[in-house]
Amino acid sequence: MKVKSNRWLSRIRKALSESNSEKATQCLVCRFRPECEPLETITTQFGIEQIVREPLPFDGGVYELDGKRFIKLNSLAASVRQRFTLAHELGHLILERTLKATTSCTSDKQLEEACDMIAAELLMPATLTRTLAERLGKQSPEKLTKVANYFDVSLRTAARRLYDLELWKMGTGMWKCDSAPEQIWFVGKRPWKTDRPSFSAFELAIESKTPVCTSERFSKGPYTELVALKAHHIGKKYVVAVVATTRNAGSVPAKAHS
Amino acid sequence: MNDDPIDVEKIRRILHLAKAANNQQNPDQAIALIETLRLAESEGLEKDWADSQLILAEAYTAKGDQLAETLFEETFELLAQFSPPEITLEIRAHEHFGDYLRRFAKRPSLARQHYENAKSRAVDLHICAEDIARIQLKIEAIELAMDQSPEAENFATLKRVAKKWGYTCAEQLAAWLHHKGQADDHDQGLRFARNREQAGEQYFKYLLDMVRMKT
Repeated sequence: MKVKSNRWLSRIRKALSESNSEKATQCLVCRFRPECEPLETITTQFGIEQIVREPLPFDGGVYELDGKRFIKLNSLAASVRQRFTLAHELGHLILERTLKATTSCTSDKQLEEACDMIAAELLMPATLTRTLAERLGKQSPEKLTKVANYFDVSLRTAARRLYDLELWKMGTGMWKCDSAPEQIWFVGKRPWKTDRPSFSAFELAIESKTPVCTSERFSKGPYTELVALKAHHIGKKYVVAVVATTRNAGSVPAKAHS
Repeated sequence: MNDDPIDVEKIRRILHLAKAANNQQNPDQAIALIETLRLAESEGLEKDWADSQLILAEAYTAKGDQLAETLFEETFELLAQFSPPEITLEIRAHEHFGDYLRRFAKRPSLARQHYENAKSRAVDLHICAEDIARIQLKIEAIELAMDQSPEAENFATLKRVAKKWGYTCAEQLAAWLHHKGQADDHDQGLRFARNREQAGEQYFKYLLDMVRMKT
């Protein structure tokens, strides 16, 4: 599993005497969720009396007022985002209970990342994700949609989790293709630098009902490099694409293709 | 000395056209129009003379030209001589000099003073709420920038949403004040939060819609 150095994850590993971050997170989550209970049910273990959905200028948070605890979620956000926020806040409550991680609000970036990791395990348990990914086979934009729908998460969350668990190794991204494509997100190692790449795969995908596969070159300094793209139009000019760098295709001086 | 009889209607038509040129981001045309006028020594046309100087100052502001500063100062000198004062011109001069100081001279505290002057005159004159709101929004923006407030990004988001969907300045101001007023409520009892510092476009769209429905 791809894990950056994080002192909270180190503490989780230590607390659970487990050297692997993924397994340690799994064990930690299992303590509070032995079966596959809904997230809302787990919150009661932490004294959460209510989950309030209302318009907020941020995603949500855990509140404590007059001795009562409740979670607020931003009702203006998409339901998958609300679910991720709920799982993230559960991450805070789990770490507060197990590691006394009481840093309030967002002053600790590493704590936020650790909570995101717990949220990922709550929403897409590693074992189940692995089984599903193996059953689906080769990485593709359509299969990403299937995984996201199965776990009721966003495409981005699904892509991130599959990549972090090293189940899908190619880069995946989403672009809004109005006049020029603009990147919405990208998971994995992006071969090019720009947020506005120009690939015919995007244009072709917009006009096609089925995914489009292309091999295209992009400029990288004085050279061009080859990538294979599989792009799929998911509606409203949003395109999801899987990007594979073609090994041994070699870097070719840009002039050779002018 | 020009002995031609003064055609007041023509002068005012030219001033009107020059103002329109400025509004249409065409400062060169505004300058060319004003240069056709000879008003300085014309008795009874002092207000038009001040107006023409102000239009020139506004045009040079649009061009980011330092000459704007001198022209604004001359305009203020002319305006100081009026009794009773020409408050509508004073409001415009203070607001637009504030714009020049903020955008080009990078003197935010002085710009803020001029915006405050414009606003207090606008309030005294009971001019329309939209104009007062527009000036107040400029004050809010400059204060956020001066304080290097993390809320500056949220303010930019509000402005972007408002521009995209065509909300008035009064609606924007009401939404912003609501957002500021709610900040303490949102923080009260908050222990952990996700993405606390960034309010999304949807949130400001919701506030702007709410304000519009109330009015």
